[in-house]
Amino acid sequence: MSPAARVVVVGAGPAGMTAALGLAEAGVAAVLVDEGREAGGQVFRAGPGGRDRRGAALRRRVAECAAIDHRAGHAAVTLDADRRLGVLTPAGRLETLVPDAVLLAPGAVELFVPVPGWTLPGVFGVGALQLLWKSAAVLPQGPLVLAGAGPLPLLAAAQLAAAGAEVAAVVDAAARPGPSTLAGLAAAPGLLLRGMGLELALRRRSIPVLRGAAVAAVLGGPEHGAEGVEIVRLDRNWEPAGPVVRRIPARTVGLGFGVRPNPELAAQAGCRLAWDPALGGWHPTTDAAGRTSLPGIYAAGDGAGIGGADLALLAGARAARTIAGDLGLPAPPAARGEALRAARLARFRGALAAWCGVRPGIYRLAGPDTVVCRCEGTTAGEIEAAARLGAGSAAAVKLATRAGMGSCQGRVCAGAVQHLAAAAASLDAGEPAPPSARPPARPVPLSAWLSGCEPER
Amino acid sequence: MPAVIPRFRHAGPPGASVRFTIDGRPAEAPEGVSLAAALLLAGVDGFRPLCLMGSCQGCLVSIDGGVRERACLAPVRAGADVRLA
Amino acid sequence: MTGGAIEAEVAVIGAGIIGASCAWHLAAAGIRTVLLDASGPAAGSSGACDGYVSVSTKTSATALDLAAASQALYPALVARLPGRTEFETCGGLLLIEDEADEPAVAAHAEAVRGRGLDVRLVGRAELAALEPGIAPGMRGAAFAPGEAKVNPYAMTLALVAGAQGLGARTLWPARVDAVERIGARIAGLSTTAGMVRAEQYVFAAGAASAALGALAGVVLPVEPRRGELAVTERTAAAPRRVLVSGRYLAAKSRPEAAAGDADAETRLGYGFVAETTATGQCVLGSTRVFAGFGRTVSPEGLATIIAGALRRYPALAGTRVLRAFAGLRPFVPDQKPLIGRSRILDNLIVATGHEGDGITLAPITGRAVAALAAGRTPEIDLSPFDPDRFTPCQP
Repeated sequence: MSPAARVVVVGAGPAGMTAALGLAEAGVAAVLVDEGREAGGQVFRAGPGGRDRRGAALRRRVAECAAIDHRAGHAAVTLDADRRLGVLTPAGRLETLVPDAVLLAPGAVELFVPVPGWTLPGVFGVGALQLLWKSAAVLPQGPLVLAGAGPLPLLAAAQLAAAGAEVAAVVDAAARPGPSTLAGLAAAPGLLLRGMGLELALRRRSIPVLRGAAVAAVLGGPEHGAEGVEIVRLDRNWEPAGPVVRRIPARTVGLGFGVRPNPELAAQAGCRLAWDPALGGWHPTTDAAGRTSLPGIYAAGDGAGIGGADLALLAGARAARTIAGDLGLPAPPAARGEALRAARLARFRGALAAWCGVRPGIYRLAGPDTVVCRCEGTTAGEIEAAARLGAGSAAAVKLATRAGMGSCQGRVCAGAVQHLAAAAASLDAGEPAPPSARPPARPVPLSAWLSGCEPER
Repeated sequence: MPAVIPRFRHAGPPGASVRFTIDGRPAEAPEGVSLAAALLLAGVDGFRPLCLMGSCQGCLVSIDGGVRERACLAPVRAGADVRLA
Repeated sequence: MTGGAIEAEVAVIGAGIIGASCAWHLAAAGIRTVLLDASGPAAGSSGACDGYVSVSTKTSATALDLAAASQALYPALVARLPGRTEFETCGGLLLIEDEADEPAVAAHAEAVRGRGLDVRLVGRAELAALEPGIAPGMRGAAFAPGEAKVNPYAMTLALVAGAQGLGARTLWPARVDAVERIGARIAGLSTTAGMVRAEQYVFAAGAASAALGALAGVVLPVEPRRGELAVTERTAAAPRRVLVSGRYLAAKSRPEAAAGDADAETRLGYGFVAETTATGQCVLGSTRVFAGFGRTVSPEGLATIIAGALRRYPALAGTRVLRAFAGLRPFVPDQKPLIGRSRILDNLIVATGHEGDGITLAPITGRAVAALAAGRTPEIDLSPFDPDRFTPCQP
């Protein structure tokens, strides 16, 4: 690391990009570490299918900024309280950076809810289908159903339909928003209007949006993959209520129940984490300026609590000012009205989470034979049996069934395992156990530790 | 074995393409897309990615005999020898 | 929780493999038992360790005797347990890394043979034939075909399930907040899940034993010694036998040598262990450091484990590490467990302080504790493991 580069920003999404640019403006050279091939993260992903001017402009500014050392294809995999950051390079080596400040902007991970048939070929995360379009102009062929909760399935449906995909239906677990929800969402009128516009666009294309409903099963078989979906109604707790109300043919199914913060590096370092459903679950706590509980470690964007891209842009800029100030540099002033705007977006986020944040009844969609842990093939029935036999704790269930111990390390199934275990043991799921801090944050070949790049002695 | 009709199609402007192999069989994909996108366009069965953003580990492949890696983060490269197992 | 106390003949505190084995053996002896834990079964060290059921890795004469007796009990015990334990007699290799190691390993092999175990020295060629993934630089090994492995947390859960099947009660999460004493007896435990009253109590709280002892007014000098391990994905390159470096024995028994040493392996008390699980993943260990009760894996610890493993077993180079984790080994200053009836409190039996040997020693410990609780004399001599040997002025 060059001596001038005293700050490492992890994640080149909205928060990380604005933070790196803000640092550059304050005269701080930053290393911008990101796993992707290009800056942008998931929302501002580069590619032929995307038509986002904001993302393109940001990516260009990052690329043209001489003070930003953007390391594409580099995955941050370990972090300790002394800010020793282990980075896996594209050449497969593990490098250790020890900057004065680390900004964690790792973004979000998708929330998945297991349903019968979700392991069939043709079933993807909603985000995956969106990314295929944005980054590669690849579209599903044949009827497509997008299901889950919140704005993502709706947004994906509008984008993919406009691009020429055959969207058969959108299924949303959340009921139609009531007056109090709408009042809360009105805190960010622009975003609310955009959401209503999406719905209108779908209606113009005669794409049905089924609310208060869920895909109870993906039909099909291993040979031909997904062939259709079964729809059920949900009650207020999102528990399936009543029989199958519709069957819709589909060759591709996108499932997505929103996103949660990615707290892995913060947990490894020992940052204080907190549970807050309004922020998407476990996240590192930060003060108003973006400082975590550990000196020199900062967090911003969805990784510090789900708030969406607009809030992440503001949080990245704010964290850059904080870091510059903490390094003893004169920090540029905040843009006018920024605090007010952030407060409005936070209100919007709260209303959105209360309306379409995952409710526990949805995990009843999994039948006894439904695979929950895709890596290890553990079924819901096995998880429930283990929970009844031993403790209700997800940790004990994990040890007993191997659920969450495969190559994704529970990143896909942890939430479902927790809920199924608690429900089977008749415990209040309440606050789930904090995420485990078991490095590395990504699988790393043993060979990466060779070649004399161990931490300084 | 490729499915009868691939589940995905390329809808972008036609441009250069690259040739590579999947378990020894020849395949072709638009230049610049991820290897995961290329495999989906080729209609490969038994390739079961979920998230395509680096998290689920469902798209592991070996490229040119290397350590298994995520196809969603790797670009498709001309001449690559991709192994699914 | 309100209402009446939970009553039993024996209350076992700690549902790690030691407490679970005690509970099973007590229940099997027809004793009404309750097993409680602050978190749940295998939540501590037993859920974060390797599963080597080994005699050849024990250093002192007493440890060798105890380990040999315990290993012999394993096959019959697992046969009586419900569910999988993944117990397998897979054999073990104690590696000779260079010329300097050879005399020590040879002498050790002789001592192990003295306990009736089949151990023989193999040279470079035979070692390569046994385990082709081993580094060609290794000189040889002490090969013990009778050594075994078990899935430590599956074993713990099977012991718990077995004890439940025999009528034992389990209680968790139930943290002991206070120990009620009447004279030289424990009258009850105040826990977060209510009051627990028993005629006798077994303290099997592993690394948390010192604090539990303090609540009861007994000195249990157990310190947490953090052991870090890494686990790989499934791989055909994993070894068939459990591999341990001959130097591991030294690392294990010289805790005072560690701090401040320039060499990371020495400073972190590193000893090479590689064990393949039933799923085909490779468990790589391990460090041993005194660093309080934190269970965070240090980047340096992880780097040391990986570099150490590749030096001895380079075939894993292309395999990916999925996760690293740490367990707190219950360390006792003279490195002998505390097993036996307390002389301070009449109705207390202690079973803790096994450090890294709890998996191997669980059957013999549980059996001895059950005998003590039933008023019988255990088959083994427990005098070296007297739990009061650190109490300053004994009555």
